[in-house]
Amino acid sequence: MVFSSISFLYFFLPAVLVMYYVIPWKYKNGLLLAASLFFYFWGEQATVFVMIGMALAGYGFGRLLGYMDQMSERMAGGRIPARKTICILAAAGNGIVLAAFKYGWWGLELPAGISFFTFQIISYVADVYRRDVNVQNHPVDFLMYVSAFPQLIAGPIVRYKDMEGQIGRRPLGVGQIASGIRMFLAGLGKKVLIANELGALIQKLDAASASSYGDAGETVLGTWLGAVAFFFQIYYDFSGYSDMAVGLGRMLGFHFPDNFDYPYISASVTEFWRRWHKTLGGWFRDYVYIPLGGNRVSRGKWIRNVLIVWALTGIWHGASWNFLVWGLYFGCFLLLERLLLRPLLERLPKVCRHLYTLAVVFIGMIIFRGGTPGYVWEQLGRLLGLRGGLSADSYSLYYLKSYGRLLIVSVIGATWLPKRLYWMMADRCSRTGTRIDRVLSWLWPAAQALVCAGLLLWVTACLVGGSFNPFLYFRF
Amino acid sequence: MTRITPKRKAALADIVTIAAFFLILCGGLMAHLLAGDQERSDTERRVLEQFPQVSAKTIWNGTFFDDLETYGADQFPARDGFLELKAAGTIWGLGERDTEGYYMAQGQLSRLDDPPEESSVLRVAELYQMLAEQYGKEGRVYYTVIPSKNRYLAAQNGYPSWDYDRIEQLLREHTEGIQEIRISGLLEAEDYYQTDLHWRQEELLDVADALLSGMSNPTGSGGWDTYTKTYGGAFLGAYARQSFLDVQADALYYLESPVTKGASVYDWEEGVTTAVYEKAALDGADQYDIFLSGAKALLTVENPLAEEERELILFRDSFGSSLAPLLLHGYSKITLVDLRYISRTALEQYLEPSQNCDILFAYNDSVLGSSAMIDRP
Repeated sequence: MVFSSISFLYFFLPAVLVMYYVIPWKYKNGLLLAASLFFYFWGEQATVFVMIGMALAGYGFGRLLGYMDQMSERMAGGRIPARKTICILAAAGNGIVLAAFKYGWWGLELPAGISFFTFQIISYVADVYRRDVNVQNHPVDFLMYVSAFPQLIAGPIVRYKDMEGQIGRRPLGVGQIASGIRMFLAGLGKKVLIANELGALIQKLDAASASSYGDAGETVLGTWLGAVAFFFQIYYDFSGYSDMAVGLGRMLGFHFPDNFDYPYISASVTEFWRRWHKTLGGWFRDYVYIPLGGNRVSRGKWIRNVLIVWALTGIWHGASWNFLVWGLYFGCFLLLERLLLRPLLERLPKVCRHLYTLAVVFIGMIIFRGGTPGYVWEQLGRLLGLRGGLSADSYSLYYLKSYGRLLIVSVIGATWLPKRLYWMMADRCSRTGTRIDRVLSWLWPAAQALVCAGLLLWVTACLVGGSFNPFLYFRF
Repeated sequence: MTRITPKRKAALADIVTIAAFFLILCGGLMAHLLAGDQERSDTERRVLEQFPQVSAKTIWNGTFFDDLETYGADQFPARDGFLELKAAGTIWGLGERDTEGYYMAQGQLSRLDDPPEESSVLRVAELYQMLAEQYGKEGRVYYTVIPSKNRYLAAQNGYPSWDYDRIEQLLREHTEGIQEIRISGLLEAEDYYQTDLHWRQEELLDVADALLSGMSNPTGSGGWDTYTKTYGGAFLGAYARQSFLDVQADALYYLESPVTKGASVYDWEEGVTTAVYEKAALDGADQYDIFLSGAKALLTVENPLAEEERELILFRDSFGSSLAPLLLHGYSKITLVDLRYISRTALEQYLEPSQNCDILFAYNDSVLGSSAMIDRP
């Protein structure tokens, strides 16, 4: 089941939320677990047992580590060497299961969200090993943490450390629910009204470029449009999903970490990766980079550590070569910036730094999209007009005009401008000095509710009409 | 209106937002549960998904959940209203120039054509050649390309359009012994219904005249004064229904003459004889079906008032339904073949052209651009 579907919005969500709000606290985690398993079973059927099995194994490893700690205390502080082995065994076991599904060993089909929940399980065992968190003794609570439907399918990767204090009892007030609703609807709008429309544009451009007739075909303008549309589609698709997850979490009383922080306004590749898929970057930093020694090692080892992390980041996304190249591509730019480019970039005007970052990320997204080496070279060649063909045809010109407004909205929406405008409006409407201020302050609540309702109805209309509705990050 | 603190107003905003959110979600759920399911959509002209079969097998293999998703969207309360909202949102909100390919220009609704494949046009030429050799023994074989509405609207209004001259050139270059009759210069956008893809029959007299003249049919050409224009009622065409854009209905007229009134139509598929104008269709879902009862694989129209025994085999699509009655007074018999619904092999047992027979291929641009639908062995 996906969030942007009629069955989720109008069957699953209201039923679950109403039950969740009316039952006593002690049953909430149980209800959330049951709802999450149903949610996963809806889309994945039998593979729900893979998730349950992996979660129970993680739970067991945690209990074992806890038991060893108790043993150690009884032995008056004596160290038990097997702790580390258990932690490595848990990480390796999860890694092997993930690889087996991800890379289709033995013909296995990839269960949705496995990359996300596997990392959550590993983070839990590692944190228990490090004694950063207490062992979770209640299997229902642990299974709920792993399977909670808001973040189950496409993240954000919520570490147990961040959830530990929220699992038992969490504050749930009107303000939090309303803020969750706004965040959820913002994400839903990003996904359905922007990402899906950009996806439809890409489909149309692909159809036009596949035609062998007349002046239709592959053109420079069409290639640029397709690449720009994908550049924004992947951002709005993934960040929209993350916003929905964070919003749903808030509606249930959780505080999930944000996953995106306007990555396309970054002034360096290093900054971009601090803003893009933050929870994945943070996970690799804490559970791979730092254990390998981080930057507190020789320069050679540090370079090795960076490249290992970025190769893993790449292959985390899929078995295809392009993901590995994509990861290493960014790893190389991070190294370059650290070793060579940083002083140069600091001297450049800010606009040049933004353009440099956008160019690097733009090419990165072409690598990400491409399935074969030939595709990437072909795309780059066409973007630069080096592969012959027309500069534009009636189709590419039409799509530029037709999708112009959406592309402009995509650009503006990728900056902090809309959020800043919202807070300016909120601030303006909180004044009570003059009569106009007072009128505005009364209109503001109604305006917010109207915008939310309008957005929900518009998205519903798109879903009822069966619009193009894929999720790019679903199979990662 | 005065003594409420900003904090309280923020809380009020929260409460109103939550109320609106739950009102819509729970309202949608309740309306779904309480409203009865519809069997079909008259506007979209299709059968709607019903509640899926529940069994261990359908649940275990996931088809139940997939079908339930389709069911949820198909049976959603006020579905047509939401589809109108979607269309308006796409055009006015997102600023796109079409919604699901439908666009409005010069007061006319039309639909963008997918980019054509050159191979598709070549396949049509090959098909014409094959059928001409099989049935056109006397060598009186003709083709005409029926222009789609887009020819007169798309490029003129900044929408992508095909290179229609290239289609005609390709056909010309790849057909031998088949004469072309061009009609594109005789039409303009206003000759089509505003809400539908089809042309208006009452605007086709010069087209029919050109075709009859092109096929050297002197008895048929001219004599249009025997036809009278009859009002059939308001007509909301397929484009209006499918696009959900706000547009006024057309007025549907049909041309009657002693010939059309005296003719009989035999439907080989149903085995029934009907009239040229099926007036019951005016009260049905698609009023355009008044013309030769709509989509039919094989029809034979007999004209007892014909001045000579002359036959026409018309390979056609739905445009041919409104055209054929205007060709009727030049022939004693017209056989209409719609290759979208009958294969070439099946056709052999029905078609036996007489010695005095013309063959006309009359397909619309869109069919030529995606010819797989008419090229079934």
